Amino acid sequence: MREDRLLVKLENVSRYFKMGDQKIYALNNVNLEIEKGDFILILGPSGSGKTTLLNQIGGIDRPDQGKVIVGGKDISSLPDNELTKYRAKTIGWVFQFFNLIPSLNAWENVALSLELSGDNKNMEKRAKDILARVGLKDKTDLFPPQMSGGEQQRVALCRALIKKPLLIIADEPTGNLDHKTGLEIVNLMKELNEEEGTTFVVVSHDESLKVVADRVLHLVDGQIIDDHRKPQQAMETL
Amino acid sequence: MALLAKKLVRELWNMKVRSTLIVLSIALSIAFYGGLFLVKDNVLSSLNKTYEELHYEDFALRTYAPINQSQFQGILDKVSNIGEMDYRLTLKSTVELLGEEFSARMHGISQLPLPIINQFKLEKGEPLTEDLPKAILVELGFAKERSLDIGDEITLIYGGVSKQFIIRGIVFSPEYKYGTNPDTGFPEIGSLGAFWLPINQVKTFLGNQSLVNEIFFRVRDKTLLEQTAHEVQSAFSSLGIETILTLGTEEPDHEVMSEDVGFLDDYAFALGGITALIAIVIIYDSLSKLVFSQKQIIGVLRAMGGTKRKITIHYTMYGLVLSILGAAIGIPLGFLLSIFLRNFYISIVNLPFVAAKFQAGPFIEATILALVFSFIGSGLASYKIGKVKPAQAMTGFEKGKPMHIPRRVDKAIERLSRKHKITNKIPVRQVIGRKKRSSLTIFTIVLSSLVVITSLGFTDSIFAQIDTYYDEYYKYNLEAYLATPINPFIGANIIFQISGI
Repeated sequence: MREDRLLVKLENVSRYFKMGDQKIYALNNVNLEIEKGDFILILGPSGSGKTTLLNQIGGIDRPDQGKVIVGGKDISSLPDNELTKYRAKTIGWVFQFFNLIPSLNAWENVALSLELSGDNKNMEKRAKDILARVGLKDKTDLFPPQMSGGEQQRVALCRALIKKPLLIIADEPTGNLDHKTGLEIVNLMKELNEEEGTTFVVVSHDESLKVVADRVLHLVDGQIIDDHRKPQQAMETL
Repeated sequence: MALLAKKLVRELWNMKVRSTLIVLSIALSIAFYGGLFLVKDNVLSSLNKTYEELHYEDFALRTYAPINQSQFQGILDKVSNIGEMDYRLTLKSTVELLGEEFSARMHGISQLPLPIINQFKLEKGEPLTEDLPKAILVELGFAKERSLDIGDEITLIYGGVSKQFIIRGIVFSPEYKYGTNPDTGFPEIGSLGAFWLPINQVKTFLGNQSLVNEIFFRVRDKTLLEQTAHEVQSAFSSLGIETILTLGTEEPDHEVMSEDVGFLDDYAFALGGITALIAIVIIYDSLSKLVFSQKQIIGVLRAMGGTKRKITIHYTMYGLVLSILGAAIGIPLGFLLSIFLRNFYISIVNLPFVAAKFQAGPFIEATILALVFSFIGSGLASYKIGKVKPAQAMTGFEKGKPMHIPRRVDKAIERLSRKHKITNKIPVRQVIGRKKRSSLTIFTIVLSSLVVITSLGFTDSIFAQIDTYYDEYYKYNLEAYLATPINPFIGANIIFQISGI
């Protein structure tokens, strides 16, 4: 892999939880490299460690062993305030339950991401522009309870995208949507991935999402048991 | 407006009932604290002004028996700190009104129309003049209670002599503003008649002798008051006149007033403090619930790069915004309360002119205290934010903490739910299992009840105090009038030899 394309590197990352005297490994000695512009799909059954893996990359949890290096920086050893800055500038999150703030309308939810990262210029215009791009031009003033699941997830996607992060992490983004809407959302992500070059790491149970991914990882019992890259993409890398 | 501020305002609006409760508690707390202190300040400053205007005594000497005024004429020259001196002849007598008799004090004043010291304000009628021997002035509170008016006839009785007088004026005197009987030291609102008439008219009750028994002084330098008072008393003593010395602030009426007005302080602390405590508890309880219900949102904010500090400040602002709103309502409410209480004081203790001046001091103090309290309440609740991990944004359902319910208690719940519905278990387990929250709710209810009880007690206690004075001290079984004045020590020796007294 070319060093200049390397965005994320996990070196022997383990994360365990204690139950009595026993250690339960959510991640067990995981090694992984993610390139800039990748669209990665992580598949696996419940409890396989998918979300724990995302938490390590997203800087909301720390490994018990190993290193998580993002953009050349070891984030697993960053102090709390630096880690918060990392989350604000580098990562965009998309959650299964959308997690929009019910008391803020669509554009405000999107712009909040800018406010928290300290980028307050033209927030309203930028938020409305990006919402228009995902087909929500007429819904910018609606509050989350007034929108459908698909619309809410689009808003959540805009919220993640607006600050132009290096990496967007999506935890079961289609888990709370019907199949058709789910596909629409994933296609939209893929579109944005291709147009903007933003790296996406998506976790899902849904095998049908494989079609849009450049690379598919299978995680079982905290270990990557399969790492499949699409041939065309593999050729380009070579 | 910053987006987090928008979120705050909308969420406060969304939880209207709780927000209103918090705002009202803070408002009441500020109103009680500020209002009661304000009325105390207003009453005291009005009284102090009255004392100054009406030349209230700095100290008084009372002789055991009336003396001839010529005996102490040179006293002013002996003590340099004396500014003014006045004297009068006061007789403890009885007034008869429509066949009913009341305790009375008739003051024979040496200067007309107004004495030099212990003056009075003519509220109605005309001042006294030498050419009207039957004219008399009556104290405002007694006149009000007994429906006396200008031109009414009254009969004063002393030493078996009774004389008729015609009311020429109704006056307010700082000596009787509280209707306190100088002998018992307890309020006798409306039952103690104080009258002023020319000294020559009072002397007629004593066979026209040139006698006085009360001498009043005002000093030049108040810092030397006590020293001067004792100097004067010694000077009288050297003339063979034994006297009782009373400083102006030790006068019974003054002391009762100080006590009465002073206990507004206690009520200000009690009512203001309890309502402020309720506000803190509600703020803490509401914000704890809000923080708990927004764990996922807090997780999202943290995941999106919100710092712990920023988010804690955001949630702490909930309590502070409500407190500021509470203060905005509480300050005018407190001022209205002070006007109401001022009128209440005027009506029950016959204070004729208490200015309703707004003073920022008590309210600033109350607002600062309320803000500090709500900061503590919201800060404590917001402190929990530190425990919310960004990963909490991932979870869709709050499982909650396991409840620790003793086995025996849980068995009792089981028995209860067998008889009734299984859904009964939920609230019972919630109450028993969530001990902290349940204790907090019980605490709030107890405090709220305390506020209600204290408020009701506030009005009751004033009257109860007066009743107690009457019951314990004032009501006598037997009253005896002596034909001629005697030294009280000699009188006491005779009386206490009689068994049963």
